[in-house]
Amino acid sequence: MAISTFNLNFWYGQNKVIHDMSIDILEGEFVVILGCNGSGKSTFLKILAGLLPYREGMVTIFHQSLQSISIKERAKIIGYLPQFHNPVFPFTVEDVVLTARASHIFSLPSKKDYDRTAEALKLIGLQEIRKQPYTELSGGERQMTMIARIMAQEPRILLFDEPINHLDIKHQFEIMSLLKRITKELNITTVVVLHDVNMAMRYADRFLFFKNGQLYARGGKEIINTETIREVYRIDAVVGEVRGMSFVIPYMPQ
Amino acid sequence: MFVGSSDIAAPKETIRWLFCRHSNGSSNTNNDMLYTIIVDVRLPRILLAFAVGGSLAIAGNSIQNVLRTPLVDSFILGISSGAAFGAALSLALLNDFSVQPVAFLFGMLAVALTYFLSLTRRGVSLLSLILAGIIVSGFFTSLLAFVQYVTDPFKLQSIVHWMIGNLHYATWSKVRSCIIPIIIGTAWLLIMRWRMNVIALGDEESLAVGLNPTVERLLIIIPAALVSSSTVSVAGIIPMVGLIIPHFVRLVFGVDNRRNQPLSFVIGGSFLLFVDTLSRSITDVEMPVGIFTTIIGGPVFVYLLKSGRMREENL
Repeated sequence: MAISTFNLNFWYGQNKVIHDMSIDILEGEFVVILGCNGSGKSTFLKILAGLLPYREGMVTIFHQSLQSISIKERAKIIGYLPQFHNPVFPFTVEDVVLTARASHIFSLPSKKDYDRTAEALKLIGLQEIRKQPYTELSGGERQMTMIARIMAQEPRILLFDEPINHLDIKHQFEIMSLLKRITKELNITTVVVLHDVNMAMRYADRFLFFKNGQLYARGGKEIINTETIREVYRIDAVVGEVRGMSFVIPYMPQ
Repeated sequence: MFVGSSDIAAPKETIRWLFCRHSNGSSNTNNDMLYTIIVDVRLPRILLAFAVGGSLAIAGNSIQNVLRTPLVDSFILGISSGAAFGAALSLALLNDFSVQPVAFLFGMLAVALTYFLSLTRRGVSLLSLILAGIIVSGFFTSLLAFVQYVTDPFKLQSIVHWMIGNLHYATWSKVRSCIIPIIIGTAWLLIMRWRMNVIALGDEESLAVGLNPTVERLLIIIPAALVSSSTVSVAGIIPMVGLIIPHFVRLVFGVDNRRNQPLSFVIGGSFLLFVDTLSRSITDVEMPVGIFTTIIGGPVFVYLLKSGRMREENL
């Protein structure tokens, strides 16, 4: 078991956003979380990443309580991709990726850190643009850079919050294929929050549907049907299959 | 070392003194005077100018990275107004000897106040840090105005003189009193120089790779405050150096702080040394260097701000 939550509850002030979540995620699984805006997807991911301290319930990462893992140790296990990223200073792609090694470094990076950075740049295919300022990259290249940064952390778990937002279709597929490849090749556990149900069906091993801070449904492709879509998104949909590929066509209820 | 307002130590004499002082056994009054001017007046001033300029620049670069904005320097945290109030207080109420330590203490006190004001349950946000700095600066500025208002004119003059940063009264004792905190703070900031690259990317981005931004911020603000307060205590408020030099370095060499921290110190030190040399040789009357840094730095800054390059790359 890579990630396990038990009776997890979470409040923003008085506002309860996560209700009694008990979820198990296996090692090497590619899991997608789906649900409306405000259903608690991002909050759940942030809790797993250790960015939001929880007070009720339990989260374990490889059978170890998340709260007992130090910030430094956590960074060596979990790679988290935040939803928004607005850098001010034009650091180069290489320098941004190098920061992934912070948990290993006291003052200056060592040769090993530079090697890991080079490997990550190669894995994601960014050697060509490694000297370019991050601030001048396109949306897709930025996302690739942040993924390379996470890979340089050498994590065993990836938590990605809407990694394909703001990207064109080609880049959406590139990023998702890349994630899938990394997950399978390196036996990493990947949890991704997505809005696009079709994209989720193309890549995920398992699905978690969130509704109002609760787990509405979990399972494989078979749980994605008209009823689930209507309950979760309050919208009608045609679910079908063409050339072996499942699809969902949503439409406004009549 | 060769220029100054005294003819006794004109360049030619200085060179002769430097090369002949061992071979020339006879001593006369002129030589003693020369020795005093060079060793006791000019040398400490050169060292002080370099250390002060370097400190302000490295602290400025550090604070710009911590606050993730190129538009601030270390004085944003309330150091200058706190120290100015401390100095005014001791000039008005105590004696001249207490000015340095009191200014230093109030500078550090102001930063501590800023930090604790901005502290919330969820850590320190950048906006609250900047706002708290503005509030603390305002608070000490009004206290300073009060001291100026009630103090007698003669003391008022020395307060005003002190506040316009200057290096006129550079002595070995001043060098000695500020050099230890400057060395400690600078070394500390140099150790932190790569970690500043991480912090500059963002709070969540730092936390995700294992650095607690709240802790790291403090680890950078403390040494930055230490060196800035030290400079204010010996040289008053020298504006613009901490703002412009990091900008200049970033513009020319890029944004990597592994390079920029040491470069900021060296270039900041050289800049202030150059400006101070100008200020003491351009006219018969020595002008306070604080006036010159603004006169020279202001237009440079406006130029940088207006030129497209900085807007694209650094804002």
